[in-house]
Amino acid sequence: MPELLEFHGFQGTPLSDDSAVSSLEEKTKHCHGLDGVNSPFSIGSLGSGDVILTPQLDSSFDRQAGASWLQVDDTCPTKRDAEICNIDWSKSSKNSELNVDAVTDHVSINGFGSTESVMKEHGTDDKTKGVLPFQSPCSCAESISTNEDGLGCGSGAKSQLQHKDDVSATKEAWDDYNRYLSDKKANEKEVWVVKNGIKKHIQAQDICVGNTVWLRENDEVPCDLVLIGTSDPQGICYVELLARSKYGKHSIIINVDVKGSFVYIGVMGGCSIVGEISFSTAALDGETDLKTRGVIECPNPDKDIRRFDANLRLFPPFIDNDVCPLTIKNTILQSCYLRNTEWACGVAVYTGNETKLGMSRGIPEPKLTAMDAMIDKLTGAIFVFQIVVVLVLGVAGNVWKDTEARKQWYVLYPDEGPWYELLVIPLRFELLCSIMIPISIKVSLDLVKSLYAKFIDWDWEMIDLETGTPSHAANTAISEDLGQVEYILTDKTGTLTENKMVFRRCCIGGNFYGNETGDALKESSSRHISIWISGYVKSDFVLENAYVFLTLIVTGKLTVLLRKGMQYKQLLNAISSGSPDVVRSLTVMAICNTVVPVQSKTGAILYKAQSQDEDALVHAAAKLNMVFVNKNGNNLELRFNTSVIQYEVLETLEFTSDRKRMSVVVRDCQNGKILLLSKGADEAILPYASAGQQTRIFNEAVEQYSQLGLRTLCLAWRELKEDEYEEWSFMFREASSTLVDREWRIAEVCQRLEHDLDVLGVTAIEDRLQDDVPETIYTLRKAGINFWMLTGDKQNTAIQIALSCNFISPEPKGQLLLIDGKTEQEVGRSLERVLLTMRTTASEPKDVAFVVDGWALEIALKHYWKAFTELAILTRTAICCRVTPSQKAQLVQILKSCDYRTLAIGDGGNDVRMIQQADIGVGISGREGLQAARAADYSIGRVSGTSLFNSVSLMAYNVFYTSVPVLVSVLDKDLSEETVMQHPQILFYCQAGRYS
Amino acid sequence: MKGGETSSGGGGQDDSSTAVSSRKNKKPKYSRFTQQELPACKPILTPGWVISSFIFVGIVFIPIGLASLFASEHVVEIVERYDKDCIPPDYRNNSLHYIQTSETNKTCTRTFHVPKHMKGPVFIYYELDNFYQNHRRYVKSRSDKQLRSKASEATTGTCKPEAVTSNGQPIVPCGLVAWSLFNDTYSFSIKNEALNVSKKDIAWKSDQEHKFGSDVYPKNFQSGSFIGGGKLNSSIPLSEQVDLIVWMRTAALPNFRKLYGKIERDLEANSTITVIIQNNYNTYGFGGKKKLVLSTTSWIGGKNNFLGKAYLTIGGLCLFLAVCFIFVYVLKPRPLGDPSYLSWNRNPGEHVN
Repeated sequence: MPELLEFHGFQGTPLSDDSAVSSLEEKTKHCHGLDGVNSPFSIGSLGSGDVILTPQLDSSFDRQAGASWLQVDDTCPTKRDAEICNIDWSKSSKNSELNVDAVTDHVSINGFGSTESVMKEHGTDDKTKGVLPFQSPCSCAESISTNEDGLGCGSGAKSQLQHKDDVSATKEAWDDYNRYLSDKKANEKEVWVVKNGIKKHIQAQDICVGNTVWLRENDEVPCDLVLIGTSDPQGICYVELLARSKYGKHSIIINVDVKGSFVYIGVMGGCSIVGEISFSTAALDGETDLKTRGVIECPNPDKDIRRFDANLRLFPPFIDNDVCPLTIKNTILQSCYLRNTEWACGVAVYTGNETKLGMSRGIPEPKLTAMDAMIDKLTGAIFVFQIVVVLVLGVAGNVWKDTEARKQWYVLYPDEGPWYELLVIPLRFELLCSIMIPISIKVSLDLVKSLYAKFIDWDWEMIDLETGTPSHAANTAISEDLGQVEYILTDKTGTLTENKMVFRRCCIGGNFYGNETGDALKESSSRHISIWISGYVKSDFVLENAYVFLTLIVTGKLTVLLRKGMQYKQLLNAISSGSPDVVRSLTVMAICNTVVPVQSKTGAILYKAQSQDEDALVHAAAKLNMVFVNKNGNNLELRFNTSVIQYEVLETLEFTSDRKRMSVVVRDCQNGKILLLSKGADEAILPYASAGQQTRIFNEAVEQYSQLGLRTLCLAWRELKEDEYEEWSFMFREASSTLVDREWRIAEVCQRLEHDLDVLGVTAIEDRLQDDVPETIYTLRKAGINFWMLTGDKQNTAIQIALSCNFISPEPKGQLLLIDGKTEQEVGRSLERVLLTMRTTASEPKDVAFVVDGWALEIALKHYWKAFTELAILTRTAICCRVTPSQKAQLVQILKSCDYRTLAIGDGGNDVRMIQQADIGVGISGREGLQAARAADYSIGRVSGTSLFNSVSLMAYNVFYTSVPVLVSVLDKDLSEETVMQHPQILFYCQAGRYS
Repeated sequence: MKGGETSSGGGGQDDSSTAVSSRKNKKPKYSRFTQQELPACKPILTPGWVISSFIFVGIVFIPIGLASLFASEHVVEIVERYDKDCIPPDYRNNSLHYIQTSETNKTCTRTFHVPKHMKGPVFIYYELDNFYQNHRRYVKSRSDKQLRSKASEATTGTCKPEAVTSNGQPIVPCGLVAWSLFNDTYSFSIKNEALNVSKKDIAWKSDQEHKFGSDVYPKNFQSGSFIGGGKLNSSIPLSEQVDLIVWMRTAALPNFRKLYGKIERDLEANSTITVIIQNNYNTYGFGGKKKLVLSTTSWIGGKNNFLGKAYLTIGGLCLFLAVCFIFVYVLKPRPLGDPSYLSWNRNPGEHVN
């Protein structure tokens, strides 16, 4: 069932002050800790259409005709952390369908922010890190010219032949042919383009940047468009990201707000730096005669689906500030489908292979397994040997012929042979020896591997029973490496834990709610929730000599969990007594987020949240009688007990992993007061508390909750004065429309508002461990596999989780070493100390683990690479907290550089890089979307579960010639699952297999 | 309050149930193949199994070995090398010249002794050594088509360098194999009584019927300047030229025997046989040997001790191992499947055991 997301486009006059907080936007942001970054829109969804809304014209403006120019500017955003965006498109391109692969969950795109958002100064983008290389103008010009040639135009499904050595040529040829067909179909598809006010049909490949494309319902979006108008009076358009993936169809609908009328814009290609490329203009829709012209300044094409930092200028300016910022929320990305919207039109900004989608479809570095590498090496050696044999035997043969064979009169050798006579014998030996290189082994192994991959797909033990998602091996070539894994790097949230957040406790105004055993929320009636869990990681191993394939399966058994509902009388009492702090806290919980309430047919309210934390908070607030009922544009409606409270969202200060907090500015419709509501990590909120406030109690609460392994969020608010807001709002809008460093500038502006906060309370959310995780980890550790946990959570939380899932043993069996420090020297000393301890304890049977946080890690990686690498080798367990996605990938890199086989498991967008980097990437199609699963070599419904090391297969290596031996080798099990389970140490041999 | 509760709770369930139902069908089909549950059996080498299979092999092999050895011992075989002795002393240093000129007398008389009673039929073989009938140039140089039918007489493409005469006439049979036909002849007598040498059934029946045509007559054979081996009577069809047929079945090894004929009667022990040999064939050029062999047969063929010895060795070894294992099993038994013997459960210190 399609999930609807709303996008707000331009609503109302741009200038109007009411800022509607684009609900979606906020959702993405809010997350707890770094972790929370996880799901921006699902980038994974390929098709996230970027919908750009052009500002909607007010009818007063309408009748103006102007020449509109779009300027394409290139600031090339670098890949910030948005590794989320690096989706492995190539995988999707395997599908012969339009390369659109899976879809994901929610994509929220905000249109031109409603009025307000236009006005907001969207500041700079990106963090300060200063990594924004600009692309040279030339490149931009180039790219554009390609477009105009029509080469780059059209739907980007150009076929890319990529050579993969592991797939047999036939299969590839077939794939390529299918790709070619679908490309052709996509390129020649007819689309409507509005030129000079007339709608024309042209082929999709002839769309050029700046064309105004007119789409009807159910049309596929041929290129990246900035949305300028839709049939919906609110300017919303619904887009479905259709994927023909194995996961079935998911649809996502994106709304874009554009008010009733349309702006017609011509786009001018080219960036300002390069010069202007003039371009056509004025588009029309059938009935309207309104014409507007404008220029869109947009960055160089890049693959960052999350970002589109562009500006729109309209001529004549009908908004007082003539630049309207465009974001990804105003765009419809290629390959989406228009749904539930009669028509929509947009300006093509990227076409062909330069669309966000096209750019993301990189060719990932092929992953080579240890066995492939070994076979390659051996093949080389055999070849050399063969040449030597041929030379030796060839010479010997010629000598024998001249000395002995000429005496054999019955052979009648002629006295004089042709000039090449000397070559004849060596060449004959070459022919004889050519079978030394076993070509068929490659083919047979490929067959075997793909069968193994199929087994993984088929395996009932690996189905997530809750969602019915089977596991899937996307990369069929590396299954045997699963058995040789030495390091598992795992994400915490959603991997070890369920990522099913439950609001547990809170501390409001100095009172603690919820106790040791219970929750702050307790229902009087008990509810039974049964959770079926299963999941697994399956792997196959190769022992090089005997070709023993071991299959490691971490599988889950069904677990039925009965969980009792909880009572939450205590808090209810506080609410009914009307404590203002509590009520405000609930308000923050209910509206400081990007959640969208959706009325289902039965009248119940469904919350569409991008972050599980937000979801938990909104649900908790609802249970505490603060029900977030409706969101209509920028107007929020809350029902508290029986009264209805309305707020108008003025601004949304989005969550970023650097800011670690999000805020909304709302106007209370009852009394007109403007409020700033914030929530975020403790270190992002508490330091900004107003001078007078005691934050000690909150610090203690945070400390206490994280000891329990709960995720904490601080809630705060502040009342704003009208003029303060006005002033700030101007700056914000300016920042929002910068092209350079927009993210960073916005962050800076936000900082100016978020201070002197009145801290309301601390909430604690539990992220329950997946079932059987401790057992699984114990077994895997016994099998000699080292675990690293990489998480964005707080150190204490991470340690608690690690303890509870057997990651580290409590004292005295285990020892936890801390690497910390704020400066280079401190970190260096601390690292040195840990290393020393590590070395001395290496011989003792003691579990030593180290804990490092993101900051110290950054320094360690920069200045103490060598020491850290040594540490990485010595240690069996590590916990890295507060790490960014790129650091995760760096850690994988370190282990790989030491020639260890690594397996990375994760579920969120922030794990994508790590997954791609690792030898084997396992993605969990979990609550945070499919991004991780799509980037991964293997995807599973859920990890966890009892570990079962399944079977082992033995391959007789002399029987590779037909498919019968293949079957034999595949079906042969060396050891039963139970045996391997009992003695995980068997896997040592598999790991050792590569070295022997 | 009630509204809030139901909305959120109901919403969640609604959502998940539809999701589940829509995805359930993705569950792969169950089959024992896909779930890797096919039945399998895996032998475990327990002491009982190992010892009894060794004993079984020993018990079966030793009698077979004894029987073959016994049979082989009963075969009477006389091997007489004549290539050196048939060169007159004058030509000892110039044997090549002796064999190549037509002026010398090639007749040579040898006598030998029959050690035991030889029951008929007695098979006569000639044995060549260091003769590479398997040489690439040699073995390919024949035309089976030409041998089979008269119509393909001109099919001599594969026969080089003995395909056609100098004036272009096809040679029948062509090729090096036929050209180098063995042409020594033997005639036997006991006490001046000639022994009849039968050429009946010395060639394969299938060769005679199918591979060598009854309408193909030798033509232009050995008419060149350089004569290889024997000549053929051009009035007899190839299918009747049994010596040629035997020769054309090329040997795989450089040391081989070919059947010359049969003596269809018993030879008494201690009798002396005289052989008159026409020593025509040139093995002197390449240092080969020629031998004349008379042999009887048994159910295992000719005289061959290897088979019996091999059976006896293997059988004896198995019995010996079985005995050893029994000893080990009795003296130091250990429980089957004891995990404490696994390498990772064993302390290096305890390795003494």
